[in-house]
Amino acid sequence: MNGSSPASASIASGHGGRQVECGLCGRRFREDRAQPVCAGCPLARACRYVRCPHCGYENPVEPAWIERGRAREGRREGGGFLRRLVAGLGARRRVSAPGTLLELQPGERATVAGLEDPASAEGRALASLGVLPGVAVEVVQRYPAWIVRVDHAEIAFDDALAAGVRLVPGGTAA
Amino acid sequence: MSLRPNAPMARTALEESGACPMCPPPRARRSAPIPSGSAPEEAAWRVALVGAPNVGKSTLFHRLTGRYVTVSNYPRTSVEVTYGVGRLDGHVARVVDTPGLYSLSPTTEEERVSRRLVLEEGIDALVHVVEARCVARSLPLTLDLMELGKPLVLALNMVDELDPLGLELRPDLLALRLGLDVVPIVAVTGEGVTELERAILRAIRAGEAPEPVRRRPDVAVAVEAVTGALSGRYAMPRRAVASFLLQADEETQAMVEATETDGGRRAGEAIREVAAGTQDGTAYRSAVERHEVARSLAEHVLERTGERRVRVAERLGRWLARPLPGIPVLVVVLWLGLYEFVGHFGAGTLVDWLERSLFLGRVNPFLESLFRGIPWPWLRGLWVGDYGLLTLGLRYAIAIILPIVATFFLFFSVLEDSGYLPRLALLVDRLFKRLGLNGRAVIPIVLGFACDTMATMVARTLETRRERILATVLLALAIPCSAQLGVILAILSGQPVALGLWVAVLAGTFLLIGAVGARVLPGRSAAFHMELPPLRVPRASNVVRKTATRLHWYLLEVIPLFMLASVLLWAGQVTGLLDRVLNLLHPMVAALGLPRQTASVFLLGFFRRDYGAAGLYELQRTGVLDTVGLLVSAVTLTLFVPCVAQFLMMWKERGPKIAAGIFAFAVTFAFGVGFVLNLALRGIGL
Repeated sequence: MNGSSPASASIASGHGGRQVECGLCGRRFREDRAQPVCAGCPLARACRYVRCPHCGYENPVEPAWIERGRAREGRREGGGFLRRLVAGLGARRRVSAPGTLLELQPGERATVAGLEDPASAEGRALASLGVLPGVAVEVVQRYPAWIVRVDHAEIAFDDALAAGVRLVPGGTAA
Repeated sequence: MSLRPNAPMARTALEESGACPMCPPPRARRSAPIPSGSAPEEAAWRVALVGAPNVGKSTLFHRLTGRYVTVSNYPRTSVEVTYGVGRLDGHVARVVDTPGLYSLSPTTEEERVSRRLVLEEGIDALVHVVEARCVARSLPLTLDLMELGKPLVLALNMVDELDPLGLELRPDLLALRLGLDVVPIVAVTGEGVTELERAILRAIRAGEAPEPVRRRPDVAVAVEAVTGALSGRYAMPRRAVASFLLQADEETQAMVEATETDGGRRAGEAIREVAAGTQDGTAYRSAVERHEVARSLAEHVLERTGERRVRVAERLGRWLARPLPGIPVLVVVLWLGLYEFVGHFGAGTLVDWLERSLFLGRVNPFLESLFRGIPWPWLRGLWVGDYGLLTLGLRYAIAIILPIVATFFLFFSVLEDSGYLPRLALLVDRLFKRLGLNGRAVIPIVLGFACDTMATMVARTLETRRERILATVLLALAIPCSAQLGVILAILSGQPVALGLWVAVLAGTFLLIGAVGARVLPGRSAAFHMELPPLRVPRASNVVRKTATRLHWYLLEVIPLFMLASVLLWAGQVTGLLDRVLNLLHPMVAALGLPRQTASVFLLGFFRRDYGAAGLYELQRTGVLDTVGLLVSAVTLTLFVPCVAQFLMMWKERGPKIAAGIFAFAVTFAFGVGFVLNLALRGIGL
């Protein structure tokens, strides 16, 4: 129901556009620029390795949950494997749509510019919760459901509703 | 005897807006005598409390009215409205507690009822109850209420919560800006309630409606244009009618069509003309304008005086809403609550004492000696004996079911009052989406662990028909009610492997049926959204009141049903019908590898699910069943058809076709699973 995350999609299709750091030579390359030998390989679809174009080393594709942890840790420099693991279990696919609430991270604030579709069930729900143009929102958490502070109160909703909130451009602040 | 047509819990439909189970379901139905010695014209004063769900309206209502409370269904709806008589600073008044609403443009049945109540003739004053910290979000409704042409008082509740937030509110400034009385109160402690009573009296005596707040020019022009197109007589000023029309409120549209001589054509044209100049429609523009005005007002009256202190409760609340440690905590909470408290303490210690020491030891022998004088055994059997009204019906109700549901309701009330339930909903939202539901459905599902009948009714508050059907199926099939749960936990508690298997089969069924149902039924899940009330330490008085009201309703519904079941069983026994039905069940039971006696357990199970479980308890005690037999019958019985009451509720709430369908499916599925389980377990040589 969730749709496939970018990470798992790239695993399923064998190759994608992610940056991979080679475990042997340490050089970075894009996953879809892996050694062309993969293209001819009948097992590529199910293959969980990507071959480094520089040294030919076959790097294992990281499972989605490690990927998520890494993405989250990317902002906060450092953090050991265990921390990434825990963060990965807590994080979820990084849904994002520019200009909507989806691009805010926990702790960030912005001002609502409008609702994508005020007449839809989602739009009416948001309006009844007080999410309307001009209102300042602060994201408390994104997963497993969104918690947003509006006006000294906390409200919770899912990704579908978060995608319906347009933000004032450039108004994001930590 | 039968289920009350519009049985309570309807109020829980407020959960629609996230407040649900927090509102006590059924209240004692008492007559509401108007205390004598008061002037009749004073007694006729009527006050309506209005406000969003969960702002402390009901607490304030109880403060104002005290003990004289009646609950009744609003005409032609299943929505319950609470009325009470109280003294406002010494003067008698009738107070009505309206169901929670966010705006006067209703979207749910509760909101529609609230609006009708507010507009009713004869309401002398409105009291808008808001949570002080949410004043900016609540003022749009105040602004709408101000247009209705009725005296209005604004009660700012929970002002004691402002200080920890580093906020200070100036009620005097707000009163000045709005032109009405604004009273800060703390409903739970009663602080400020006397001042509120005086303000209400003042408003009634003055009899003047507040002057509506000036609107943004473009909206004001639109309202003016539409007002000019109206000529009929309405329960509210035409300006307010125009305002609602611009909010695309369907009920007002119907009202205008019925009232205007031209069927509202002129008004329609005026609206179209106004709408032509807007991008997102007049309704959206109205809402935005309302909030703009409210925000600017709130900014004036709400001052930041200090740093916002992050309280322990808030930090804890956030922790509990994260998968880690939220989900482990959830598991521990449910384990402690359901297994240790309800299962061990309620179904173990309490039942043991009540049943063995009290009923089997004292009450039953006493009753039998009392009825020994009756010469006809068939008549004696009606009262005492195997299926006796008193020895079986009353004993099951009081000694087995009462302690179990009482402990469950106590546990649930603590969860409710602590503000934990919305966090529970949030945590399970993603899982429930896979089952075609959303996080909100967790409330009927958890309530199902108390009573599936009640939960089936609460499921009506889910937004779409698809969700209601899915929740009903899951409740009928995979959720054991507290009585059943308690007894089965007691039976299986000595055998951890069997208990684990029982839980696994039920959890598997829950997930499988949900996932399949989500795919089979057309439509999609409704979005999840809900307000998160702050986490707080449950108040003993609230918990006791909530537990007592639930229990009260439950016993009123249940004891008669137990008696009915006893009478039916007795009649069946006397006429021999029971044996014939049992004979039909015997081959089915035999196919599961179970002894003949279990057939009567299944039959009892239909009269009440827990009834059957209690029968199973007897079989276990007498050693008729081995462990595999016990497990197979426990699983089959849990999955088996819902009890009579639940079946009737499904019929009433979801219609005969769906009820019959679920019934047939549950029987087939339960016996199918029991059959496979028996073969599998015996096959591996257990």
